[in-house]
Amino acid sequence: MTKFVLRRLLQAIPTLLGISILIFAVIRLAPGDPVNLFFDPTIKGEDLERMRRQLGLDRPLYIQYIDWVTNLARGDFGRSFVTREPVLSRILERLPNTIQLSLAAVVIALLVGPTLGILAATHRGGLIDQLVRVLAVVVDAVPNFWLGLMLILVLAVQLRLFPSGGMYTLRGAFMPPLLDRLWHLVLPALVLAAGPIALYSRLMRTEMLEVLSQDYIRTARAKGLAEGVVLYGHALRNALLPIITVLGGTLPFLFGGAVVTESVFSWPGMGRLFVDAAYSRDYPMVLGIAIIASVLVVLGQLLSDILYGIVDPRIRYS
Amino acid sequence: MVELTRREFLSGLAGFTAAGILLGCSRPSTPTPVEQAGKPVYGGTVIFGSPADAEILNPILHNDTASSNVTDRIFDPVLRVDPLTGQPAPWLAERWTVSDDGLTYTFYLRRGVRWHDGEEFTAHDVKFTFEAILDPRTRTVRKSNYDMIVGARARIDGKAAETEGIRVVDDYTLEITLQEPFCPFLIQGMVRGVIPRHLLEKSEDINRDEFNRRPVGTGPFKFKEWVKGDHITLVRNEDWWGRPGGPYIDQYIRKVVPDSTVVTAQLKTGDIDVGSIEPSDLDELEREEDLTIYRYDDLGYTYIGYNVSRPPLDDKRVRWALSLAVDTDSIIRTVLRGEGVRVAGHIPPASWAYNPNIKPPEYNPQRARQLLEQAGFKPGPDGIMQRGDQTLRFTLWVPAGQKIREQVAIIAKDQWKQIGVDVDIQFQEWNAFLERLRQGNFDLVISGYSLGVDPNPRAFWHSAELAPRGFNRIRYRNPEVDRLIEETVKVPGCDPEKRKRLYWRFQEILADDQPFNFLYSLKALVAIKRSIVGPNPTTFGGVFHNLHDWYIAK
Repeated sequence: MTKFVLRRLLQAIPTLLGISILIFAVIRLAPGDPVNLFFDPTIKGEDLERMRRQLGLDRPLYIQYIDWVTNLARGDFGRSFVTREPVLSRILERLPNTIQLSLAAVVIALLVGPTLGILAATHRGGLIDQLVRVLAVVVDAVPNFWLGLMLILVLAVQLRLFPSGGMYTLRGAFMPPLLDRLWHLVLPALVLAAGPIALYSRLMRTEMLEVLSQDYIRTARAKGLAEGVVLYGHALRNALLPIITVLGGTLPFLFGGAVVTESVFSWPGMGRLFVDAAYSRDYPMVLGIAIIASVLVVLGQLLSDILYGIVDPRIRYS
Repeated sequence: MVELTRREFLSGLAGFTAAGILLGCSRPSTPTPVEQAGKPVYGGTVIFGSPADAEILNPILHNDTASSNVTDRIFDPVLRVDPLTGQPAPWLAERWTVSDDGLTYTFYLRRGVRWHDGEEFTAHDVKFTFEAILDPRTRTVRKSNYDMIVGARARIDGKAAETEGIRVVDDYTLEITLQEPFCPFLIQGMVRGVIPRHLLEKSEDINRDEFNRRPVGTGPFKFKEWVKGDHITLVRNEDWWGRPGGPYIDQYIRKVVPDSTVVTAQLKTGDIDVGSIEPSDLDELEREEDLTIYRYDDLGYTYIGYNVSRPPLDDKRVRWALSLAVDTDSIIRTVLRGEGVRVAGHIPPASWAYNPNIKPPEYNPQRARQLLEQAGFKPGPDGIMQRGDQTLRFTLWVPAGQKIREQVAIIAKDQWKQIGVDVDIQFQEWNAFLERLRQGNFDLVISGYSLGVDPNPRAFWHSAELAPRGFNRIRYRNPEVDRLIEETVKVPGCDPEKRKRLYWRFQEILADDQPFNFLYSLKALVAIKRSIVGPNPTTFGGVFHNLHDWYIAK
């Protein structure tokens, strides 16, 4: 097991190196640069030239890449062009907020998605089944930003049930800080969970139907076990397997979703940091976030492989 | 700000920095009863919701409106821009004198001004601020704002440890000597916030100093906290020199609200008290009883630019035809919902240098067609005008996500079709769009400029500032314009009337040359909670110039 984990981690290094080249190429070949955003009628062309020089943008691209990647190997992510702070500390400042949001979304998705799937499977062809399937398709088809804006307009602005954004109340909070925080978390987490809910419910329904037609379920029923025990004691355990497989794959998906969701809900996480950095061509920041996100995705996949082995003892690590 | 960034445009935020705005007072759409009520009360918080977070809280380093919105409250400049007239006015300096040759400025500073940490403010701080800007190690685009000071060039190039022309006479007197007269000097150089020498003198690297996220100034508000990406909180400076007891409100919070739809939503829910809004949200917000809408004229304008270095756009008749074919007045009525002013040249009506005699091209498709015919164009088989191997087919580049400009592009395309000009519209992300302009890779473009408080148009129209190096992105060259631009900044005695005459001539030439179809200046719109007393947004002061006078009616 330890060997397996170690090998997987080592394998990740060339993957990350490849990603670094890819991301560097993508962001640097995109038209534009950070100095373009400097405007003021009192600025002269020479000021802009000097700035490009000071940022090191006048050097050949491959040298800039080599510089960056060697520093990275030493753990130095460089400094933001915009705020001039160390990239890593900026990311670490924001990362907990994104993790918080993503975890909340995963929890919601894991609670709601499979439950809907089970309901649909056990009521196959019935009204509930239809509803769940339609819901899954609709939620999956609706873009996150739209869903977010709609929830804000209806639940926050019209009904005033939830705050319309931010992480906590800035003025006149009427509940303790922890509750206030959770209250702010509900809508963005729900939006972020929408995609996974749709995925899990569909997956769960299919798996459940498959499992329910297995011999051992028939045996269990024949033994006279209560339906609840059959469903949750026998069927669910096996039907959960594929969900755990896709759990690791949900991570990059969540990060992608966080980029949009965080922007709509003013959630100060890594996703929004990435969007802002991309617009301002803050190269060190964009690259730093991409690398950290890639590391998280690799770790997430590893985790789901390990989990897979735990729930299904037939899986061997070799 | 020269060009409005995507996000600023989205939120209609453009105006609130020093580069802001005019025509004296704005008028609330309806007067509030409390405004007559009188006696200010202490207490409360004002929350401003805006799309961008500040970048860096140091007035010599930043170049974004979000940062200056915060630092303008924390730091004081030597002179400030008078919010009503746009002229330099006393602030940290009680008065100043100029020598007869227009070269030496002497500033007499206030006594008893204290930094937020209790240290006393002196002329050494002012000198330190300018020296820091000119220091070759400092990464700022402001160096050329001061390059006319004696010895500044040597300092920028690292050949001198100090700038000869910046002299501390005594703790409260500072003397600055220029190489040659430069009329915009005060409004360009002296309105920047002063930073404390005692805290930064020993800094290893001012670009990275922790000060930049925990600033200390002399201004009416003190820095309290900055939760990156979420909000910045400032609190009252009770010891502010400007008024015993300091501002009336306890706190000013700048909150990040990334989307203009959400700004509107949060104005309604009361999560924020102040927000810039777009014309399309006006109807909805005007119905809100808790909000007052303020409008003020902006120094910026939107244009359709012609790449004059690309034939046949080098032909003035073609440019005029394209301009005459667009019905700008109806665009203002419909797309802008009347919240805009037609402009005819580079200097919009809000500026003192505006030339009211220049008339914008009146919508006249017949005349446009005649001009094209005079230029030798005839309709081709597909109805598109052509001359020899030239066909009037262009690509119009529009920054993506700027709703109003996108609509303008679509209307213009339709109207150009009427005169036999075929235009393809392309949308592009803001930074990539700017790169395209810089490289000159376009025929037609919709964008915007915003003037500084001083109308000096050098950055955009002088041939020394041609892109890709400078901001003259349409590659405009005209020796007479160059000469006028140079002369306006060194008029003897900086006589405003004489400068104005030169600027008037400059505007006439530009209007005649028609390198742009100057379209409109969009009014700045801002919604403020009705219980807040005191806001008076102006062209030159923006929304928050008198935040220290605001109070919340009980």
